[in-house]
Amino acid sequence: MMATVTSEFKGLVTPTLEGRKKAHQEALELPFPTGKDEAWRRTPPEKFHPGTMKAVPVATSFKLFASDKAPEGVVINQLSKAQDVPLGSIAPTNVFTKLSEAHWSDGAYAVFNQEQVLPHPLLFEHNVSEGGVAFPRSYVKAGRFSKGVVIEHYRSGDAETLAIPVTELYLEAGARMDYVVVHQWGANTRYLPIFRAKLEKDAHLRVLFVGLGGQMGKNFMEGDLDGEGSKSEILGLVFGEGRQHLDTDALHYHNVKNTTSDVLFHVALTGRSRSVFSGNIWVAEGAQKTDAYQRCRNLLLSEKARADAMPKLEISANDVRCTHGATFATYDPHQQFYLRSRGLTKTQAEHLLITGFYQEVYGRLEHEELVTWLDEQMEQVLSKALG
Amino acid sequence: MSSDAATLEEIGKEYKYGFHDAEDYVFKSGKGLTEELVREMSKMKGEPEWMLEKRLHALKVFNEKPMPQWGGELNEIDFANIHYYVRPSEKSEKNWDDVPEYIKNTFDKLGIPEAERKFLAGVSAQYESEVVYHSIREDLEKEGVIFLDMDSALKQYPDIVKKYFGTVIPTEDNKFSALNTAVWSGGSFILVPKGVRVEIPLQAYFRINAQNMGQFERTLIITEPGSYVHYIEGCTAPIYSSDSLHSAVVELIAMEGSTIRYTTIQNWSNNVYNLVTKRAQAWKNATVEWVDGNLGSKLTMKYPAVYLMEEGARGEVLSIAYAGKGQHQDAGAKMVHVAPNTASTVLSKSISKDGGRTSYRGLVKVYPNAHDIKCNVRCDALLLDEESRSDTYPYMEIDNKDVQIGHEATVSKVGDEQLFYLMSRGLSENDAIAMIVNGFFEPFIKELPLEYAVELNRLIQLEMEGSIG
Repeated sequence: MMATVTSEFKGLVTPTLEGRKKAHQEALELPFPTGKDEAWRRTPPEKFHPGTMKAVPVATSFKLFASDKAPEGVVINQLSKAQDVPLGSIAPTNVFTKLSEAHWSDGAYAVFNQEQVLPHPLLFEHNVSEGGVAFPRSYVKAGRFSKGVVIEHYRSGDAETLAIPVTELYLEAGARMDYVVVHQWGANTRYLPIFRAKLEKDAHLRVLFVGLGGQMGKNFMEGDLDGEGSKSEILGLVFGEGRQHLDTDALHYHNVKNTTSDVLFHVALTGRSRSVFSGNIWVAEGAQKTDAYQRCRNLLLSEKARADAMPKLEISANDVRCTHGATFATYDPHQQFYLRSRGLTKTQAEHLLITGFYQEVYGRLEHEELVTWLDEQMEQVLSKALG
Repeated sequence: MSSDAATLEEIGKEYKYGFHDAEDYVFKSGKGLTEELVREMSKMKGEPEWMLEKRLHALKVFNEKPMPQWGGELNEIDFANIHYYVRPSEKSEKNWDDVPEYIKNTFDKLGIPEAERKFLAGVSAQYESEVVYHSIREDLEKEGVIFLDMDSALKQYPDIVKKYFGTVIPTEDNKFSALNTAVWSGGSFILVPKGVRVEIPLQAYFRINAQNMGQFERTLIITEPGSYVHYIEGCTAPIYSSDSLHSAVVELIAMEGSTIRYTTIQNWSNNVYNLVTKRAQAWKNATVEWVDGNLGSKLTMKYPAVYLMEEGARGEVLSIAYAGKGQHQDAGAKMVHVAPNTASTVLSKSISKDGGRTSYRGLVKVYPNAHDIKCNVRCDALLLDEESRSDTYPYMEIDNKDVQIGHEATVSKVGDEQLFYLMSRGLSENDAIAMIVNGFFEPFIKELPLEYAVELNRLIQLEMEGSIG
């Protein structure tokens, strides 16, 4: 494990160096996961051990779509320049979040004050250019009845990199938030995103996870439905190529009654890529009228691709409607034949079929600028992979 | 309908098979599991040396393997407080009149000889560790169908037993398969020769009578090419304040073009741990169907598996589970597609009531070379009150692209709209619930050969009549 806490990062306003040292010490005392832990049975945890890797910085920048100025009630900054951020108030406590607390360098910070509406998406770009271990860290808060679209876009270079981004999202009563995270890491990057959102009364959150790059990923996403009437959607678009490996854990905690959750992952795999999807709907005792849905669709496009799915339910209340499903299929050969007969090459046909396969998830997104931007990113990756 | 509603209320409250006999046994081992006990058992049974070695090896494996920490709560099982071998009589009888009186009375109460006379092709009755009664219809015997208790099979057909014993479920598979291999006693051995169709079911009854008893039957069924057999087992036990353990190993081998249907109506009393390993191999164009009803026991952990070994093999699991007060049914199914062009279906239905807990735990695995796979898994759970719990843990590992695999699960309560509709037709709320529950279990009930087994009918009626209308 990394031996010392470096204070090389600029702009270390909060927390203090002492706080970081303490967090590092606490991380050392926490158990590191083993392959026997349920969440790590299909992805080797040692691949995510920082070992003696050097901590490297994250470069974060941000911009607003189609508008240079945010309304005054929306505070946007790099995390390293923000003041009094309640980091760790939402994220789970484990060895990775503690390491993040000790070593984070930069990331997104956005606070929407009460009733503030941001009409255009807010985009944070994070880049890790040096090889080593990087800890991007983000905090987003949507105040009462505020509304906005936040995108985080991660990238890295070709050097061997381990990235452990931790993102905390807090939605106060009545807030509406679309949150999109695009993981477009370099070919030699292993990434372990830890995402957790907390929703108060009547808050609505729509999360879209886009997994496009990297060598190996272990992705934790959790939503805490703490207020009645709250609703959380976790959507996922995954494209696997080469020997990529992505393992996702998506979990919704229904802690009170009258809450809704919905998980929809569409995973397309080519080459020798592999996907693991483990979803869980957890319904607390007394959390009546829970309406929970979970689905993972896998499109296997090559002989060597492999997909595992474990959609689970743990229900302790009776007046609920919880449904989950998982499907695995290859594309319909007739569809491909049709496209080929129209003069498309095999890869062009595949490209089109994958785009079609993603449409249901796209259809859930409401913001036009967001869809256009996302389409561009996706198209770049698909064109490169499939032509 | 009102009587149905009343019976619904009674589910799980009354257990008809809770009586027990005074103990008058030929041999009853002390409590605890030791090498001496295993050696003594094997000696009393007059087993060949290889079986003793297998048992001793299994004992070692059992002691080395850690207790599984998933599924149900197993840490309360006190292995030192169990009688591992109880021998009620000297030999297995072929004539019902020769069975010791008190055992006969027990099985009479369960309605077995009566059912046999009327409907069954063969019956085996196991009391504690040994099979006390065994019979098969003469015409089937003439056709070469072997239906024996496992101990007799080991004596009469040692080569066949040696060839297949433990090949489907190896000793090392899990802690409880190792335990069973070390102290197994009784169970059924069936071999159906090529092309023979046993049109009427063969049936076995398992009865635990003593307190702190461990029953470890071992069943092996082999169907030769083109044959068919349906095997039904039923299980009951008296109610005691301390717990008993039932840990069976069931191995099925369905050779080319043959079909095995294996039906279980598990109705242990609520102080029995039921930890069973069941697995089948389905070879070319063979079909294996597990029909699994779990009504009783304190904790059941049972995941009937079908390994689809060659093209054209088909596997099916149809299961219902009911968990009442203090019960945990952790049941499910495993479908392992080893070969291409194989198909499987799982339908699981469960009901939790009065704080009971049901779990579906299943696996669908497709190996890299197994293309053109069809698999459909469906789990439905009903929660009848606020204290009950239902979990679903499906695992799907798919290593081939040419597959059509679907998994669906729902957990819900009895639908308000359904209730409203039925009540608008003049039914009381309880009657309406009973009717909905009836419909919920219907796909399972439909598969039971009710016309064959009177006592089975009675048992189902008793446990579920209210809920199934």
